Amino acid sequence: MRYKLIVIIIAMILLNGLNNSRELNDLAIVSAIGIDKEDGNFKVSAIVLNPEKQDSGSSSSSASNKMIVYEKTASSVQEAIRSMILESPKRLYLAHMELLLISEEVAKKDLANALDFFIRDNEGSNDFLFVISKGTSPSEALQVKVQAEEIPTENIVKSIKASNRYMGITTENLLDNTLENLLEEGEEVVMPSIVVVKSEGSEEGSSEDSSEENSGATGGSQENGSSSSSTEENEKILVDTLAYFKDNEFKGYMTKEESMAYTILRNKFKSGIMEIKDKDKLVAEFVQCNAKLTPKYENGKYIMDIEVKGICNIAETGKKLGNVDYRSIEEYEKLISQELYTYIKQYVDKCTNEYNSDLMGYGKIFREKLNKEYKKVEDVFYKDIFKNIETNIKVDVSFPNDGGINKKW
Amino acid sequence: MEQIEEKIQNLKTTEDVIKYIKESTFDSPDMVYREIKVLNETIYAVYNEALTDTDIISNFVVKSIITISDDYKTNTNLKEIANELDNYIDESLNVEKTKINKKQRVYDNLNKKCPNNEISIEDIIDALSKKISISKVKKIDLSSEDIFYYIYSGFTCIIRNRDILVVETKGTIDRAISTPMTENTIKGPKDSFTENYQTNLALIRKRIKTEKLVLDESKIGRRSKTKVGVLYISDIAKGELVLDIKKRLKKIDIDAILDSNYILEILESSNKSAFPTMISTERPDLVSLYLLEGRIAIVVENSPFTLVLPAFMEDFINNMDDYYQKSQDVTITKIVRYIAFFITIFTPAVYISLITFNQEAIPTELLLSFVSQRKGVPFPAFFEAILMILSFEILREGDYRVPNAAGNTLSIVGALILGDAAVSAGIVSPIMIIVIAITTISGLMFPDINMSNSLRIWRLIFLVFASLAGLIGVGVATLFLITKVSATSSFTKPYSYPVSPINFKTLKNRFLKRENISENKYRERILTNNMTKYKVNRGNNL
Repeated sequence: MRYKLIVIIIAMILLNGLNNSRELNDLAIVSAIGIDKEDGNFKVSAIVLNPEKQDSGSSSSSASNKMIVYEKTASSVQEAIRSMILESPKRLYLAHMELLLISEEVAKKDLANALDFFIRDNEGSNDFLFVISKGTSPSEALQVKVQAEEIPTENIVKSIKASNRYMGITTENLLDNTLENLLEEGEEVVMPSIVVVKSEGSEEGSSEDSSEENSGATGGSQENGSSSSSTEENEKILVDTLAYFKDNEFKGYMTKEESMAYTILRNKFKSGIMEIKDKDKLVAEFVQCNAKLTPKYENGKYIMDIEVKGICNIAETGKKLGNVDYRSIEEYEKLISQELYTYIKQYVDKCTNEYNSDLMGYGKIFREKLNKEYKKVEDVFYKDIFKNIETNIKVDVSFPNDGGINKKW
Repeated sequence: MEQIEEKIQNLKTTEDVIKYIKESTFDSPDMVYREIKVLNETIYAVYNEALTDTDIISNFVVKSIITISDDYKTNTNLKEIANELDNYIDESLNVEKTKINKKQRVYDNLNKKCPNNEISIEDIIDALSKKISISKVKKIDLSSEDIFYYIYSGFTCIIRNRDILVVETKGTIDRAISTPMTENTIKGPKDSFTENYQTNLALIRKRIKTEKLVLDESKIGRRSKTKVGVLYISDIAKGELVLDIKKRLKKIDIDAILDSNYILEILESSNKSAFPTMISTERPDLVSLYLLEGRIAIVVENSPFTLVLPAFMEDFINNMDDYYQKSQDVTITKIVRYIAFFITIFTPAVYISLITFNQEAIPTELLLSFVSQRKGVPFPAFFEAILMILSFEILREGDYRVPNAAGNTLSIVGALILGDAAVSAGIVSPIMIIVIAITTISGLMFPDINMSNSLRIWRLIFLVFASLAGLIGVGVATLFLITKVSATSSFTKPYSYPVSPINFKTLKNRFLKRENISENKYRERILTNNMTKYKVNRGNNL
């Protein structure tokens, strides 16, 4: 018994090891890393969380978390992160990284190189978000102070998650599904983006998209307008629309409608709102929206049938207070379906013609479901066929409730 | 030995016996030798002053002896009168017929009262053993029985030559039946065993009023001669187990049995695991329940704790209170208890491995909270944990030993001041206090001290493994624990029953809920061969 115990303990020490133990006090917890390009080198900035010790005597409401920013420029990401140890008293600990913010330049030119380190690092976390910083450099964006959350990283991550959940205009790109999209043929990468807005000091609406975003944001607006008073310029971070890639290179940003169409077609849509402005104002809240993509090959033509089914609730009507009669519900259903149809139609057209990027994942769908036909044209699929795929879109939106108000006052 | 036996054989007269007792006890001052003159002889009442009730001795024993001998004296006087009367009648022959008849009647009466003319002391002792108004009277043989056992059990020995009559005159030196000290119940019976053997038996007997409840008594301990009673219900308990226990008890050769834990340790000597394989309880209702299940109880003199065997691990998690509350509520309590069981073993180990090895497994915000609390603590987390466990154990042990009056001071100084100051001084982190506190409190949910002690040992084992290899170490230690529990057996019965060997019916009935009292008609096969609790009558017997 004693012998067995000794053997087991020795084995544990040798295999896993006492040397692997590390005290919490010796770790610098990295919450976010920003990667930028500077003269052909990587400029890496790491946000290290440095929580303050709680005062046990007085009212200990919450730890005020201070953060430390380390910045290093090197030819590789690994080198840059390692050299931060020269500055930091503690070892950088990447397992709690939640956000990887890359600049547009990196996304355009060197995405693969920037990601390689994070894929290979065995200690690193693999559930961090990939986000593009629109316009500003990542290190700047990461240091914007916000009021809602103590850690700016938390603010960005939660905003993106919430806008995915409630607005349906972003996606949560974690390491593994990003990698999948990067490596798989017939898929393109899409990334959420954030933008830094200088609200009061400079003129409002420095970018068109963000101001539009601002006006449309009703649900899940994590962004708190007034930032902390300590910063001289009032800055805030907004979640922006999706950035699209082609051949793993950053090309540009979609509009809000396109982003929504993307999430619906990819079945990543959780909920969102849609507004009809024509004659009757109606705001519909999508509870559920699923898309089914069926590829067909008929008479030498590649056809894609898109069937979208959605369930909505009436969120707001501009017409009258109280119950909505049934006839108008049917009308509303038609209107919303029409609106959604145009969203998707425009998106698909734009992808095939203007962006020329397979954001719908057509290539993958054809390969998987019509492998025989796809094999024949594999090499020229994107050159010739992709543009000419006929898309049949069928949208069916239903309102399960009659729009009545059940509240008793 | 032989010399002593020879000496005992040679004792002839009363004086010899008294001398022998005096010599053997080194003329102990608490021995009382009381002379009583009966007829022409002196008999002795010998007893130990400390153990006996002198009221009983003087009111019943001595008084009875004197009255009986007085009766005989009166009879003797009457006889003398009768003789004189006889002479008188003989002298005057010509008396009236009626007087002769009267004389005849007196004579007859006298003869009836004292059949022999010779009145012996044996008759007195005989009469005493029949007439004395005390329950326990016994004639013993000096050569075969140990007179000192009776003297030190609180008997009074009435000695005349080699004839010894022992009369029970025990003083009340036991405390009264009180509420259980260690196993509290909210709604159940409030009586508990005491140090008195007879009381303990009575508390069980009054719950199970059947002749089938068998008591097998033996005296164990060369010097202490402690009564140890094996109780079982003859038609439920498994015969071979009863025989085995009796055999094992017979084999015990020990100086003294001071508490039932002595028996427990001797019977458990083959159990190498930390877990107790016998239940030790002070609740008579619990013992009765176990007896009806087919288990065996061992009542030990001078111990308020009765042993029950065999025991399964599950028994220590259950509680008698379960039977006195609603079944649905018991389910919740049981779940809480199982959770507490795991908390008390795992929490410090899991905490240590999370913050020294597997930081990636904690949610970020929790990790930040840990970091902010650990900030400035100079010790490694493992050392911190050991420090806290040590101080809590000191507090616990101190709390057990301290007089009740000082208990409050201890808890205030220990728990409040010390804990708070340790955190403020930065010696330990607040989270560590939380971890150790919840661990300790969870451990206290198990009333059996042997069980909570064994959980304490396993907690430390887990902690060491966790500090060596993190969650992997906890995994290895868990394997160890499972192996150990599965390998343990309680008197040939598997300790991990009903989980392994698995018994779905029992699991269903007992693991997460309390068995339904009115519905469960069967006993456990593992404990008894007589499984039907009630005879189910078919048809109408009326």
